[in-house]
Amino acid sequence: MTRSGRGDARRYVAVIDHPIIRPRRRVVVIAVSLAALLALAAPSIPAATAQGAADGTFSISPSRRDLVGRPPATLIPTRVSNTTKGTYDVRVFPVLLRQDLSGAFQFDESPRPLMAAGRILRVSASRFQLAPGQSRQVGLRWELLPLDARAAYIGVVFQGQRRVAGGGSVPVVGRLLSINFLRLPGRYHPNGRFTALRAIQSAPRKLRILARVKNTGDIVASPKRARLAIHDTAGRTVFKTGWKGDLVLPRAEREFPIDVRKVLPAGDYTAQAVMRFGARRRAKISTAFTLVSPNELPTPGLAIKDFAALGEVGRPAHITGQVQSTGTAPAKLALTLSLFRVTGGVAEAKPLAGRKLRFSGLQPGSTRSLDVDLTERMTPGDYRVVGEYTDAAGAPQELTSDFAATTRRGFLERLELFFKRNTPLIILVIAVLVIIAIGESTRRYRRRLRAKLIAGASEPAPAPNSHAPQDDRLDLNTATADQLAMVPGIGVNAAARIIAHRDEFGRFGSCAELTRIEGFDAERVVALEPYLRLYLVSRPPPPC
Amino acid sequence: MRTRITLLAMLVALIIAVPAAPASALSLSIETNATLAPFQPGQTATGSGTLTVAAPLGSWTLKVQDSTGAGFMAKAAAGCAGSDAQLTNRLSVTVTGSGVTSAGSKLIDGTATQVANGPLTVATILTTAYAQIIPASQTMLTGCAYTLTATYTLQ
Repeated sequence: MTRSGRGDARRYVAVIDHPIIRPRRRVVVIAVSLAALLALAAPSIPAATAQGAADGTFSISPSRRDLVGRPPATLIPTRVSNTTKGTYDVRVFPVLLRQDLSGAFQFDESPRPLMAAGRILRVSASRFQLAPGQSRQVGLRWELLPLDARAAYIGVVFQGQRRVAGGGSVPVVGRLLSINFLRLPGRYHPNGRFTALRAIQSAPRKLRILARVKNTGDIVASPKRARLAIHDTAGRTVFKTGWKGDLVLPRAEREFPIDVRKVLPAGDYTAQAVMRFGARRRAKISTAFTLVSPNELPTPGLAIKDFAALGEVGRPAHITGQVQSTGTAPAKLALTLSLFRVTGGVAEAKPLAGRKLRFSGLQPGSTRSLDVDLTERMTPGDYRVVGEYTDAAGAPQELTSDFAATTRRGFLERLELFFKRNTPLIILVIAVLVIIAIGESTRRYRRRLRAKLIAGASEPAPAPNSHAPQDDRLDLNTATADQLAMVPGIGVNAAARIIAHRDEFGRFGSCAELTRIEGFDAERVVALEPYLRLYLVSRPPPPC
Repeated sequence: MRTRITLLAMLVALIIAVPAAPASALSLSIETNATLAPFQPGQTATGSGTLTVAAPLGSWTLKVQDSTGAGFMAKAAAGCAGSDAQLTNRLSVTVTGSGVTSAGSKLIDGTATQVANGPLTVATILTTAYAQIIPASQTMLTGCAYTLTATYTLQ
């Protein structure tokens, strides 16, 4: 019991070693029940503790307080016990509590928050020793509240370090955190809302829905009558369950995990969560999700293979690797690269250079190359490149690659290295250049030959025709087989057949006579007309 | 009248509860400190310890941090001339136990990281498995001891 010296405190003065209990009628029931439970449990607990911890324990009691009153007020002291066979060095200090998404309490150990917590809640002993089997009470006094605040959430850390000979590689310090909710009497407004709902893969083929709740009221409170339902695309309810709310500090957000204890087939679903939080009407939120196989969400996965760094004196560090998307959903990666100088095997605290890379839309199964320079011209020595990223599961990952900056290579060495590294590309480029050169050369040869032919054909014909025109066409009746073979559309064989026909039947009277030769149809002859002509005796040359 | 009943009930509750003080206790027992082996370059040194947690009033959460550094094992003050001042990689720990939700392997650093949580318990034994990757390039002279103080916080 705590006695406060002000106002209407006599209506509220109570210290209860249990989370929030507000309505008075419920207090009566719960207090009596709690007492009965504690009385029943008392004989069994020391026995169980003794079984579990043969060497005893370092413990505090009580570990939670919910106090309504006015400062200054003295709280029930905390009993710190050491039932082990070793001596403990104990340190006690108050801290300001905040809550993380998992609901666990956090505190900051920097000087200013520690000082603020110490002003609100004062402990009577901050450092002492506890011999084996000894216990000690630590007094707690609520001194004040921050300006304009009606409540404070203060933790008290009881840190115990056991004196152990030798110690091992990893000596352990134990801390026990007691939670203290301190508030003034008066009317409070518990209120809260959903801020998010999402499905996650808690384990292979195990689904979990996370309902995020924000306490928007002015007092610590918890969700009540909370339920979850999952509907398929036809609107049928395929799963429903209740979920248990727990304390959320004012202005804090907390995620409540709800396990889906049923295997749902692949498909599209909608999850809907409802709750009551304080005086607010029923709050509701829903989210859609897809299963790619029974109880399996599309899950991004990332892996970075062949992470390596190297560098030459006077040049930047070069980092290479392969970023692989190993999951069933598109992944993204934010990779921070830092270059450190290494002296005596230890990397310096401050990086010489750094760079942030982002990869997004990494499709499942795809791979992207990591090939970057860190813009620091290196001097001789040892270096370390550290790559930091968060994997698809949200866990921080770290890659390191140590190297020594090598002296810069000469031109020939670099040329050789370049050829060695890029042999396939170089072969490809050479092959393309050779093909282009051959094509160009062929085209030029053909152009030259054609020009020569045309020049030969345009020389005065030996035919006794004074009307011989000075055009570029080839005379069908005087052309040789070689000349005919160079005409587009007439090959060596066709030229031979034309000469044979001319030898057998005499001069052509018209180009149409070509159709009598095997392989020449009217269409082909029409196509040849721009290249051919006929000289007929004592007549001007007709059009072919 | 109702107020009096309330206060009376609380008084009774507290009087009854006094002998049962351990029921509301939060306790942590450190059975053994871990010793890592083989502690030499090019090896992954491993070791394990045990903790016992008792939280009979509700669910509990266990966090770990290196409250004096950033999670790198540091060499002892004596007998370590010529050795690297600290190891290249952070120490990792996995906390497991029956009926306990383990957060898996976690790298220890300067901020408290949740490693396990569980429902109310009168005594749950937890195994702490440590792993320290020591690169082959690490300079460690024989006889030089490296340590890291792991601070576990139970709430």
